[in-house]
Amino acid sequence: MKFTSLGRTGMQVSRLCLGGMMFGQRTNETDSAQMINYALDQGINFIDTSNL
Amino acid sequence: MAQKHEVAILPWSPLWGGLLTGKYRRDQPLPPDSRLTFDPLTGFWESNLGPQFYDLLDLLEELAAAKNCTIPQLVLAWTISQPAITSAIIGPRTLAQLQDNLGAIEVEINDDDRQRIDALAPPGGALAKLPNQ
Repeated sequence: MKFTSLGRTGMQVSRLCLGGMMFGQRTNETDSAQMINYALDQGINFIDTSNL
Repeated sequence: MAQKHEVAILPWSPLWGGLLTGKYRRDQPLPPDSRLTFDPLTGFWESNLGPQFYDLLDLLEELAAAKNCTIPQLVLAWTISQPAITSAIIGPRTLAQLQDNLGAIEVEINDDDRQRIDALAPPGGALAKLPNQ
Protein backbone atom coordinates (compact mmCIF):
# COMPACT_ATOMS: atom_id res chain seq x y z
CA MET A 1 0.00 0.00 0.00
CA LYS A 2 1.07 3.58 -0.54
CA PHE A 3 0.20 6.46 1.77
CA THR A 4 -0.16 10.20 1.61
CA SER A 5 -0.94 13.12 3.92
CA LEU A 6 -4.60 13.82 4.67
CA GLY A 7 -4.59 17.58 4.14
CA ARG A 8 -3.03 19.33 7.13
CA THR A 9 -4.15 16.79 9.70
CA GLY A 10 -0.74 15.18 9.98
CA MET A 11 -2.31 11.80 9.35
CA GLN A 12 -1.01 9.42 6.72
CA VAL A 13 -3.79 7.62 4.86
CA SER A 14 -3.76 4.89 2.23
CA ARG A 15 -4.15 6.06 -1.38
CA LEU A 16 -7.25 3.90 -1.63
CA CYS A 17 -10.03 4.36 0.91
CA LEU A 18 -12.39 1.45 1.57
CA GLY A 19 -15.93 2.68 1.04
CA GLY A 20 -18.61 0.76 2.94
CA MET A 21 -21.62 1.48 0.76
CA MET A 22 -22.20 -2.18 -0.07
CA PHE A 23 -21.64 -3.49 3.46
CA GLY A 24 -24.82 -4.62 5.14
CA GLN A 25 -26.69 -4.05 1.89
CA ARG A 26 -25.57 -5.98 -1.17
CA THR A 27 -22.72 -7.58 0.81
CA ASN A 28 -23.72 -9.59 3.88
CA GLU A 29 -22.11 -9.27 7.31
CA THR A 30 -19.80 -12.27 6.99
CA ASP A 31 -18.47 -11.24 3.60
CA SER A 32 -18.19 -7.60 4.67
CA ALA A 33 -16.09 -8.58 7.71
CA GLN A 34 -13.87 -10.73 5.52
CA MET A 35 -13.34 -7.86 3.09
CA ILE A 36 -12.59 -5.34 5.84
CA ASN A 37 -10.05 -7.70 7.42
CA TYR A 38 -8.46 -8.33 4.06
CA ALA A 39 -8.18 -4.60 3.38
CA LEU A 40 -6.57 -3.99 6.77
CA ASP A 41 -4.11 -6.83 6.14
CA GLN A 42 -3.20 -5.20 2.82
CA GLY A 43 -2.38 -1.90 4.50
CA ILE A 44 -5.64 0.03 4.10
CA ASN A 45 -5.97 2.34 7.09
CA PHE A 46 -8.75 4.53 5.73
CA ILE A 47 -12.45 3.55 5.70
CA ASP A 48 -15.42 5.59 4.54
CA THR A 49 -18.36 4.32 6.55
CA SER A 50 -20.90 6.00 4.25
CA ASN A 51 -24.17 7.51 5.38
CA LEU A 52 -26.41 4.49 5.28
CA MET B 1 -6.33 25.57 -5.01
CA ALA B 2 -6.79 22.46 -2.86
CA GLN B 3 -3.08 21.76 -3.15
CA LYS B 4 -2.14 25.32 -2.27
CA HIS B 5 -4.26 25.22 0.88
CA GLU B 6 -3.44 21.57 1.65
CA VAL B 7 -7.04 20.48 1.40
CA ALA B 8 -7.53 16.76 0.86
CA ILE B 9 -9.64 15.60 -2.09
CA LEU B 10 -11.33 12.20 -1.69
CA PRO B 11 -13.38 11.34 -4.79
CA TRP B 12 -16.18 8.81 -4.35
CA SER B 13 -17.33 6.50 -7.11
CA PRO B 14 -14.07 6.61 -9.11
CA LEU B 15 -15.34 3.62 -11.11
CA TRP B 16 -18.61 5.47 -11.78
CA GLY B 17 -20.78 2.90 -10.05
CA GLY B 18 -19.17 0.13 -12.09
CA LEU B 19 -19.56 1.79 -15.49
CA LEU B 20 -15.80 2.16 -15.80
CA THR B 21 -15.02 -1.45 -15.02
CA GLY B 22 -15.61 -2.86 -18.49
CA LYS B 23 -18.50 -5.04 -17.38
CA TYR B 24 -20.96 -3.08 -19.52
CA ARG B 25 -20.17 -3.46 -23.20
CA ARG B 26 -21.48 -1.99 -26.40
CA ASP B 27 -24.56 -3.87 -27.61
CA GLN B 28 -24.16 -6.53 -24.93
CA PRO B 29 -26.76 -7.53 -22.32
CA LEU B 30 -26.19 -6.44 -18.73
CA PRO B 31 -24.15 -9.01 -16.81
CA PRO B 32 -26.20 -10.86 -14.18
CA ASP B 33 -26.01 -9.39 -10.66
CA SER B 34 -24.34 -6.21 -11.94
CA ARG B 35 -25.48 -2.92 -10.46
CA LEU B 36 -27.44 -1.78 -13.50
CA THR B 37 -29.66 -4.83 -13.12
CA PHE B 38 -30.96 -3.71 -9.73
CA ASP B 39 -30.15 -0.03 -9.34
CA PRO B 40 -33.31 2.10 -9.62
CA LEU B 41 -31.34 4.45 -11.84
CA THR B 42 -30.76 1.78 -14.47
CA GLY B 43 -32.95 3.37 -17.09
CA PHE B 44 -31.27 6.67 -16.46
CA TRP B 45 -27.77 5.28 -16.83
CA GLU B 46 -28.52 3.27 -19.94
CA SER B 47 -30.13 6.22 -21.67
CA ASN B 48 -26.99 8.25 -21.02
CA LEU B 49 -24.44 5.80 -22.30
CA GLY B 50 -23.64 6.91 -25.81
CA PRO B 51 -20.89 6.21 -28.35
CA GLN B 52 -18.48 8.51 -26.50
CA PHE B 53 -18.74 6.34 -23.41
CA TYR B 54 -18.05 3.13 -25.29
CA ASP B 55 -15.18 4.72 -27.22
CA LEU B 56 -13.60 5.63 -23.89
CA LEU B 57 -14.08 2.07 -22.64
CA ASP B 58 -12.35 0.74 -25.75
CA LEU B 59 -9.37 2.97 -25.01
CA LEU B 60 -9.29 1.96 -21.35
CA GLU B 61 -9.33 -1.68 -22.39
CA GLU B 62 -6.42 -1.11 -24.77
CA LEU B 63 -4.35 0.77 -22.18
CA ALA B 64 -5.07 -1.80 -19.48
CA ALA B 65 -4.05 -4.67 -21.75
CA ALA B 66 -0.77 -2.91 -22.54
CA LYS B 67 -0.04 -2.59 -18.83
CA ASN B 68 -1.19 -6.10 -18.06
CA CYS B 69 -3.72 -4.77 -15.57
CA THR B 70 -7.50 -4.69 -15.38
CA ILE B 71 -9.69 -1.76 -16.45
CA PRO B 72 -10.69 -0.92 -12.85
CA GLN B 73 -7.03 -0.92 -11.83
CA LEU B 74 -6.20 1.44 -14.69
CA VAL B 75 -9.04 3.80 -13.78
CA LEU B 76 -8.15 3.85 -10.08
CA ALA B 77 -4.46 4.34 -10.85
CA TRP B 78 -5.37 7.24 -13.17
CA THR B 79 -7.54 8.75 -10.42
CA ILE B 80 -4.89 8.71 -7.71
CA SER B 81 -2.20 9.82 -10.15
CA GLN B 82 -3.94 13.21 -10.41
CA PRO B 83 -1.79 15.60 -8.39
CA ALA B 84 -4.52 17.00 -6.13
CA ILE B 85 -6.13 13.66 -5.30
CA THR B 86 -5.43 12.36 -1.80
CA SER B 87 -7.16 8.99 -1.85
CA ALA B 88 -9.89 7.41 -3.98
CA ILE B 89 -12.92 5.89 -2.24
CA ILE B 90 -13.56 2.44 -3.67
CA GLY B 91 -16.84 0.59 -3.12
CA PRO B 92 -16.28 -3.12 -3.74
CA ARG B 93 -19.20 -5.54 -3.37
CA THR B 94 -17.09 -8.70 -3.37
CA LEU B 95 -13.69 -9.79 -2.07
CA ALA B 96 -12.60 -10.43 -5.65
CA GLN B 97 -13.44 -6.82 -6.59
CA LEU B 98 -11.54 -5.55 -3.54
CA GLN B 99 -8.50 -7.67 -4.40
CA ASP B 100 -8.59 -6.38 -7.95
CA ASN B 101 -8.99 -2.75 -6.86
CA LEU B 102 -6.01 -2.88 -4.49
CA GLY B 103 -3.81 -3.92 -7.41
CA ALA B 104 -4.21 -0.39 -8.77
CA ILE B 105 -1.55 0.78 -6.34
CA GLU B 106 1.19 -0.78 -8.47
CA VAL B 107 -0.05 0.52 -11.85
CA GLU B 108 1.87 3.46 -13.33
CA ILE B 109 0.11 6.06 -15.48
CA ASN B 110 2.23 8.14 -17.87
CA ASP B 111 1.66 11.40 -19.74
CA ASP B 112 0.78 9.59 -22.95
CA ASP B 113 -1.98 7.67 -21.14
CA ARG B 114 -3.32 10.91 -19.69
CA GLN B 115 -3.32 12.68 -23.05
CA ARG B 116 -5.14 9.85 -24.77
CA ILE B 117 -7.75 9.64 -22.01
CA ASP B 118 -8.18 13.42 -21.93
CA ALA B 119 -8.81 13.41 -25.68
CA LEU B 120 -11.87 11.18 -25.23
CA ALA B 121 -12.96 12.48 -21.81
CA PRO B 122 -11.90 16.13 -21.77
CA PRO B 123 -11.07 17.63 -18.34
CA GLY B 124 -13.97 19.67 -17.03
CA GLY B 125 -16.46 17.80 -19.19
CA ALA B 126 -18.73 14.89 -18.45
CA LEU B 127 -19.71 11.92 -20.60
CA ALA B 128 -23.12 11.83 -18.93
CA LYS B 129 -25.00 13.94 -16.46
CA LEU B 130 -25.56 12.64 -12.95
CA PRO B 131 -29.18 12.37 -11.78
CA ASN B 132 -28.84 15.41 -9.54
CA GLN B 133 -27.39 17.67 -12.24
